[in-house]
Amino acid sequence: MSAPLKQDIHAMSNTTALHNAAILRNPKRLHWLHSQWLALAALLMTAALAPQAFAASCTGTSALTLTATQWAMVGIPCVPVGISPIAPANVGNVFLFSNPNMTTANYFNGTNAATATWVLWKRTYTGTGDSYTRMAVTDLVETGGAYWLYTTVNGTYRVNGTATPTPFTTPALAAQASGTNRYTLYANPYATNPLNFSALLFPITVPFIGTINFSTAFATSNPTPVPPQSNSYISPEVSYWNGNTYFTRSLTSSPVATFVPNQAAWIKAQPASAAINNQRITADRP
Amino acid sequence: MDVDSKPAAAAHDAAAPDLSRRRFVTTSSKALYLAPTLILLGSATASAQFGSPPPPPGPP
Repeated sequence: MSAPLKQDIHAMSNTTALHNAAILRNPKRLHWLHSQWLALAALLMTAALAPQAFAASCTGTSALTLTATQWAMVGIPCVPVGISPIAPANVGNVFLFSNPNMTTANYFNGTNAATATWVLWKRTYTGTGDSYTRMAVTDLVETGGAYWLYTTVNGTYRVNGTATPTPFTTPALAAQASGTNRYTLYANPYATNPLNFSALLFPITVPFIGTINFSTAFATSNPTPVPPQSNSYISPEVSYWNGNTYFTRSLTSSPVATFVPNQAAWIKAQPASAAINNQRITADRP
Repeated sequence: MDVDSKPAAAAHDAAAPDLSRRRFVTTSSKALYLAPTLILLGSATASAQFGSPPPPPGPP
């Protein structure tokens, strides 16, 4: 087959120009052309936005190193997404994205200890004696959730998801007057590092004793959330787990207490903090 | 059986069955409960590592 001559190319170009002119003169064909352009634009926008919606901010956080046969306190610093955008954000799907060793089949279900490699526990706040609950592999993982993670293999932990709306308020947690209820496992709900302990807000109920008709005592409350340094009910110390034991940091001593994405730490109420009950901790994005 | 009875026991060694470790495990009636016990202990240890996490820090 011989190469097209220069005049042939010129003729083809003229033909194309005539064809395009015919389309532009015909309203129906012009409408069809517009629809094609709109479809192409929509396709390009979807392609441009989809990776951002899926990758999002959580993947930009520093991964937490997991050491074999050690416990780690982990957190969810975003709105979690499963292994695909349509997969439910449950334990199996979210943590499989984090680490290929964390498969559903390898998750400890109570009977497969011989083959299991990992498990997740959460703190259950009952108000009468908080305790741990082992999560099922199908349980949903929550934004700002704080969990204990155990693995038998080395690896890393980092969650996939979209940015957490600010401000974020936790569900009702612990931090009550006595017993193990004084401890709340808290995690940075944002992928931003760090979230200072002093930036958390606690809706402290402040007792107030007054009188009605000079005889009746009553109490009222102050629902305005306050930071830990502005009340005497929250301990100034935060406890972290290093894989083997706890260490603490405080509100004032350097390095000050902070919450790093992907990790969790213990917040404690002071003893006899009658004003503390079912805390909902609020934090703005740093 | 006391210490003095050992020579007498040794006299029967020739006629006694082979008490090697392998033969003991395979023929002794103790194997009926020894092996399953070891298996249960092993699985309990493996299961325990996935058990409840460390408690919160410090005194309540």
